[in-house]
Amino acid sequence: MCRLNRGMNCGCCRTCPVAELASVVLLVGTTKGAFVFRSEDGRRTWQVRGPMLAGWHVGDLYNLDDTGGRLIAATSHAAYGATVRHSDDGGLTWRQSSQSPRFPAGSGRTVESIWRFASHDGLLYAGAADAGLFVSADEGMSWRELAALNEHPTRPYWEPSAGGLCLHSIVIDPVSPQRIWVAISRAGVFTTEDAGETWRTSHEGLPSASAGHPCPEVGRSVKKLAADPSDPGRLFAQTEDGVFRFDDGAWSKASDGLPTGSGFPIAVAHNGDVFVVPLAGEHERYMPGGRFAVYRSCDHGQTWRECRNGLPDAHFVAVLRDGLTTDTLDPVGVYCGTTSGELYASADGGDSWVALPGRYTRITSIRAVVTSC
Amino acid sequence: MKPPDVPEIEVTVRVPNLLRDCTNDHTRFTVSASTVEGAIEAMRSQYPLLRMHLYDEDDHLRRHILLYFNDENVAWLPRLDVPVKPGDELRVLQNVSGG
Repeated sequence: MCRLNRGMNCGCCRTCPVAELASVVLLVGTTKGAFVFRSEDGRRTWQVRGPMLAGWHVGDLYNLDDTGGRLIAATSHAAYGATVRHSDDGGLTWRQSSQSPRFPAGSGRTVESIWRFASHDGLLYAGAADAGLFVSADEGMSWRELAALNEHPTRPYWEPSAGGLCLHSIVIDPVSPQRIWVAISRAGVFTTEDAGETWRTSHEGLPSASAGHPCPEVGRSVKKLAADPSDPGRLFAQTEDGVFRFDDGAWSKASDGLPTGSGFPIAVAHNGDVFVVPLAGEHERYMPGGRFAVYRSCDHGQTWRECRNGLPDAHFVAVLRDGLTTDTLDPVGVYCGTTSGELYASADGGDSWVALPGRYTRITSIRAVVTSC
Repeated sequence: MKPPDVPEIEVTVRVPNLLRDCTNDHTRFTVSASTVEGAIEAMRSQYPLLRMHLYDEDDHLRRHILLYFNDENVAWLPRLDVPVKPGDELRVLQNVSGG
């Protein structure tokens, strides 16, 4: 039974080639609640439901498909801290989980916010700020920390970026789920081959830490990490120094053709197409010249093409690191939400865009789920 | 902690609407206690989910949370073993502002 699809037995599928008949759900987090968008007509029209969890900063809204659609929400608040909430009825009602990710007492660290979930085979992972990785084996009801990473010897040299010291990206290898990559701002990429028992940095080919860094093993500014579903083991990263691709154990630059190297989000579709939203620069957190554009690469980052048909001009906004995603249909659906609370969707792989209904507070995250076709 | 010669009194607790899913959908409820300290502890044990939002990993009150006992910030009270009386109120407030 699919809870996302209002309890109907919809035959959920991961990759659906019949885009015209597909039902797609967008799970959207904002700084003041969550919204669920639904299209029942192949992404032509959308209905929106929300706000859910009104008042909470929803850093991620995740469909735990192992359970038939439990929704997991990362709810944070400047005063009230970070907790996990869940819904088993598609977001109509929510309950706070009995436990939430917490550092051990005496560690001197506090979970201020939860940034990102990822799951595989019954294990749900959560990345948090203060930077940490936690895992739940009971659908988010209780959590334990992965101390080998959280207490990594390089930790004293992890530096907070403007968004804090956060673990914002989690990638689980679908073929070898014991292998996990995470990215921490501002420390870099860490990987485990044994489901979190041991961790090492994975920086070969990335720009070096700044001169004089006391621990050059870290000090890398990786803004977002994404896996290539078409080629397990290949990763992409948006960094402070451009887009990088990870193949065969090393990173190589893949930014040629992009207007700048700056940006936060990066998404890779099931067919291997890569999408980014470049910013004017580290200090100008808006798109170059206010020209709203998503860039697409169909050749693994060797070349990039601007995609902005239907996107506005004079839009001095940004897309946050989790504000860009794709669906599993063909042609690929691409979705992005801005720091000014607008959502745009493309049902043709980025060639053309439409605005989704409504205007919201800052969009923190979007996930797309194909519920039936 | 209940001193042997002090009866327990119903103390009203008020919490922000945002936290009502931690308190069985109540923004106002009562706890039985004989002291301010006891009222706080009763609130914490009665609603453990609320405790997660008010206290950090080291069991310190989160830095932007204010606990008021009637019109006084609990943090400024010289002692917490003060007996409570009928009509007393414990309030959870947030010390956050913005433009």
